[in-house]
Amino acid sequence: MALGTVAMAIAGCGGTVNLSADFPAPMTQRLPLTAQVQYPEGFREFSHVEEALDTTRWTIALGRPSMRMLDSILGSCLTLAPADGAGSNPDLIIEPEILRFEFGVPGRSKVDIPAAWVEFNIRITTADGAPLTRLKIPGYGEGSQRSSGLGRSLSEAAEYALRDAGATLTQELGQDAAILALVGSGS
Amino acid sequence: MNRQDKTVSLMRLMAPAALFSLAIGLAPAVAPADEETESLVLLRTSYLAGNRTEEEFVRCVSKKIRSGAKRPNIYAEQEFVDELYPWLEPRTMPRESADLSEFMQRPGVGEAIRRKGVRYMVWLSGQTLREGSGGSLSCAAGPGGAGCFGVAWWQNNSEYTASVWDMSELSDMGAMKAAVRGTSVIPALVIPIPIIARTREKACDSLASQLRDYLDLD
Repeated sequence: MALGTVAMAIAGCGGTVNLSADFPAPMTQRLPLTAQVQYPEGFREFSHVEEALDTTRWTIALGRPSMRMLDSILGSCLTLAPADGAGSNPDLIIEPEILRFEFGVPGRSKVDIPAAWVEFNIRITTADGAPLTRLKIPGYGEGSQRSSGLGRSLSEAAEYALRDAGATLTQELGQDAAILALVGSGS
Repeated sequence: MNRQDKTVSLMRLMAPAALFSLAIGLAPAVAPADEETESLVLLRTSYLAGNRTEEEFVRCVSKKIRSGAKRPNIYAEQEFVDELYPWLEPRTMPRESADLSEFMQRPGVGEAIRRKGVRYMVWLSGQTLREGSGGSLSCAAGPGGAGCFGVAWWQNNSEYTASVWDMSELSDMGAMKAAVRGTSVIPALVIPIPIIARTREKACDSLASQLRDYLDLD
């Protein structure tokens, strides 16, 4: 897993954290369903910005890496239809949303190592718009104590949080009662 | 010095570098694994259980295990974890050997383990901690020169454990430990002279030696 890149702000501490990791495809059984993923407007450019009282400012770009993770997971668990819906009649419409993201760094929070938390809301409907299920997907990650800087450790923590969320989503999709019922109905 | 002498001097300077480069080019980048020894993978236990084993320690143990008479194939930790994603993540990885049956039944996992010929999973835990420090070392620079004066010290404690799981028997083969404590000192009378206690390296040596002996790799 490649580490994310960090651009340090010229003035003061903090910086912008870009996650460049690729997320592996999960080992899972593909459900016999097709799905179209519809990312809400602004999802791709979603960033978490946090300022501390000491004017430290961290900006963590989450939109694109979250999309990479979700595309990898959903593409392995289901058969994905084109996003524009051309020529497809999917069984499911999936709308992901980043509900919240938090991080902690030593000295600012009660953590001894950089850590990150993320939560996704995955709304799943049938093709005609009827609600099918809603999955709340959390993820937690920790960085390592490395000498290459707080930014790299924070990037690592965020990537592990996304991986953890992907692991949870993989399991939840295969166990959700409503989705399994749809599979069973032969739809 | 005439031109011929200069040429000979230059060739004498370049010859060792040229021979060294030739040796590097001919030598294999990585010693190949012996075909008869089984594969293994070194993994860190979950940080959700409070483990903070350093990535560098895993690499050190891996390198030293392969320094014995038999050189097993050791899969790189992150590549292995990525290939078996999501079943070796901190939250999903098996915590004890009793979880192995369930782990091997995860989609694709058993097949991947067999295809890759992994006979042993070695779980590493522990870390190196600085337990105390003291002293005073100050350095200054001025027009007349620079220098340091004083002494600084710190104590490191490296404790690690390796648990070996047999993937063909799906059982816990046992565990081994390495604990090394040492004090590093930097005394200075103008020039600091660091005396570093390399506890992590010594713990790595000890654990790798025990693993080579346990897995009959010597």
